[in-house]
Amino acid sequence: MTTLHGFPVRDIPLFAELTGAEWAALEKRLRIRRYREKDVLVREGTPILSGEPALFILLSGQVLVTCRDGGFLRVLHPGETFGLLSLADGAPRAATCLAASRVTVAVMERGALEELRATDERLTCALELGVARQLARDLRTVAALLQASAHRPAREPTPPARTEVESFTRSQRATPELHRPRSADELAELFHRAHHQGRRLVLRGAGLSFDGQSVDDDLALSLEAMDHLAIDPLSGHFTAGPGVTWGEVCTRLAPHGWVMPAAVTTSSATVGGTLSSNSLSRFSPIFGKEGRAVLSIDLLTPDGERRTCTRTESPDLFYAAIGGLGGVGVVVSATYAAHPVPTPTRVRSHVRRHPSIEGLGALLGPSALHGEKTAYGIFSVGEDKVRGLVISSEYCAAERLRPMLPHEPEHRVRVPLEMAVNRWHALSSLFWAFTHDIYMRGADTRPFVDDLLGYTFFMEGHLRAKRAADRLGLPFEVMQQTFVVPEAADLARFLATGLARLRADGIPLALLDVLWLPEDEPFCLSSSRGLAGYAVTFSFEGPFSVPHLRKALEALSKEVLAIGGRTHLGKNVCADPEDLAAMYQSGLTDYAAVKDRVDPHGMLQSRFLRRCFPSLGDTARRRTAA
Amino acid sequence: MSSLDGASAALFSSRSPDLAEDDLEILAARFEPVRLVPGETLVEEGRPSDAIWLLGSGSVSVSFRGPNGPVKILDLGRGAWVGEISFLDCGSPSATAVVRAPGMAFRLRRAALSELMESAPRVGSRFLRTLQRDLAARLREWDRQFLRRPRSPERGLFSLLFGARA
Repeated sequence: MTTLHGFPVRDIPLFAELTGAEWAALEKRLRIRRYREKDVLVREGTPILSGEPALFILLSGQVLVTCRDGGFLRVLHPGETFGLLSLADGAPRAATCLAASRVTVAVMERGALEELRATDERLTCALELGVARQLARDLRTVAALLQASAHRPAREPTPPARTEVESFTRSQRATPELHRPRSADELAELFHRAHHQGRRLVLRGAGLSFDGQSVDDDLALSLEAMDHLAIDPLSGHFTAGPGVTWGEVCTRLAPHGWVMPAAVTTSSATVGGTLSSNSLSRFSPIFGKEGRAVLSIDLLTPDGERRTCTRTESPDLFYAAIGGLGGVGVVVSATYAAHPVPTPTRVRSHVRRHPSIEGLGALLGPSALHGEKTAYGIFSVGEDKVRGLVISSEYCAAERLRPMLPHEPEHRVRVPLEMAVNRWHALSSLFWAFTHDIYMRGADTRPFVDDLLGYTFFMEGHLRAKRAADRLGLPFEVMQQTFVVPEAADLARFLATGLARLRADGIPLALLDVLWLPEDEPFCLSSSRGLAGYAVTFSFEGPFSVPHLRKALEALSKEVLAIGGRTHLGKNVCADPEDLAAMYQSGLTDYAAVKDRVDPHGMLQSRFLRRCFPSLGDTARRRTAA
Repeated sequence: MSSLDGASAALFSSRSPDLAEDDLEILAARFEPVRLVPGETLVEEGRPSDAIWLLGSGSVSVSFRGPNGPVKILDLGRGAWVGEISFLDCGSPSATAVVRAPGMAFRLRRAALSELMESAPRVGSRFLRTLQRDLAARLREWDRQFLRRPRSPERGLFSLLFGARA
């Protein structure tokens, strides 16, 4: 019987299929090493250097495998192989291997492996097959663990209770009976009970919606516990439950060289939440809104049916549910196609100062967009002066970081600065004057290079400040409304009208941002369905008079309707319902047809849907009356 | 690249960037182009399979049997391997892969890999290293996915891995 330092070779799966001659040639390239208890054989995060062991075969003793994220992972026994991951992909070690007793291992050093690869093609081929097979066996083990964990309850169910919930902007509050389903089966059961009891349901994610999109008084379903996420690192497809946060998605995609084409700017926003509003982002000028990246959704409708919806399979449901404000069903999971980027990924931004709201159509429109470089403008509009920055950004491979302060959400000045700027308008103007006149001087010649997650989730600093203010009982008021303006010629007029109106009403504008939005697919309630244009967002930070502001924004909604545009439904919406019905007419007809079919009793509701589209309840009301 | 069209050549090249053009040709000749029809099962959980697929277009949905019916894991797209675990370790597939969106794939049977390793071991080695790299990427990702699972104190990873040994 062939042995290696007394251990039967046939019991080492990596070498089990080598012929006698192959084994003889390979054995010469192995070295025996001994370690004492607690010696570190492999250290997590370190690369394989020349002269270091590339792979290990445990011959006697036991080895503990641990990692920083998960603590203790497993125990290795004689005959098992380790170190293969870094050998296969050249990346740093994924875990630390620690001798649990006196240990003897056979190692193949990197140099010996390279020499083998250069001189003996057949033996190399046999060894590579052995390594691939061992990795496949390891994958099978982890797959079994993942399957087993999928069957176990993630946590003890929380009994439903009346709980106060509010919108992100605190403009809407309610005390619904809050349920936290953990699976599609639990959801279906809740739907069944709600239907028989004639209850109304509203869907919630992380509670970040600006208006009353996730607020209502009867039953509320928080989908945060449905947080399964599976990523294919090769094709960049990923399937996420509605409770998965975009922080989790982007953090897991990034090491494999993928990004979400239109990722929202706060990491705690959930997939279900953003999908229900078909969100837009700073990369929307080139990648469109979130819905464009969706390949399929698994939808549970109020009639209890669970359907897979794509552009070709139940397309009416696909186009109604994405951006559908949670009114036609619960997205149990959604599959997206990520966008490939070089790794490690950074974002390079060129910033140009543009102290005017004139000429933005040409600066930000389709003719100004090249390749995968996006562009957007941010403006502070004071009594006497406009301070604006036109920023063009693109993903790039690792370059030396030169972060832009707003893209450092964890920076220690961020929370106090955001809180102060939110509280005092004069400070906000002063901060912008500093940013525009001093910090950004010369920025057009020297690009900023941001960390991917810092750039993507730059609003996280704002969110942290709001949470800090909430904890301290301090006011932190925010409102935002977005309009889609179809023509460049109308853009300057709309901006001028809007700013004049706000000025006349004495409403201070915190920020104005503008970006190009390409025509969307026929998502029923998309603000860019059949309409390309400029997304204009007016941001207000407290203190301000909400009734005055609502009135001003309602007037702007009328203004945008008059020029063929729309009020975007993903943020605050101050608009006359008749104006909204006129803006969304064809999409609303399609949406209502789907809702009447799958939710004839109007079970899925929200204050927002009732306020903005009161006609959607007509069928349910007719049925109730009958 | 005489026998491969541009898209297919780009696909093989993207998966095996270390292979020269001639070597890619040798490798690609062992793969059979297959049309993917929605609903078609490529790999069935528990049923032995001797092939691996490289997806060129379309999508394939992967699921496993749960106590209340199939549990979808994810959809795979262009550039992904299907059936790689059972192809390599010769065990039964641990999941089912069904074509969701029509497209095409390249299928490699185990016998064709053996023949490649015999007749062109250098190309075979490079191809296997490509597979290793892709398996490693998936393994790192699955490890991350597993590590983020909430653990129940009474039945942790240790007991799941080692059962009675724990």
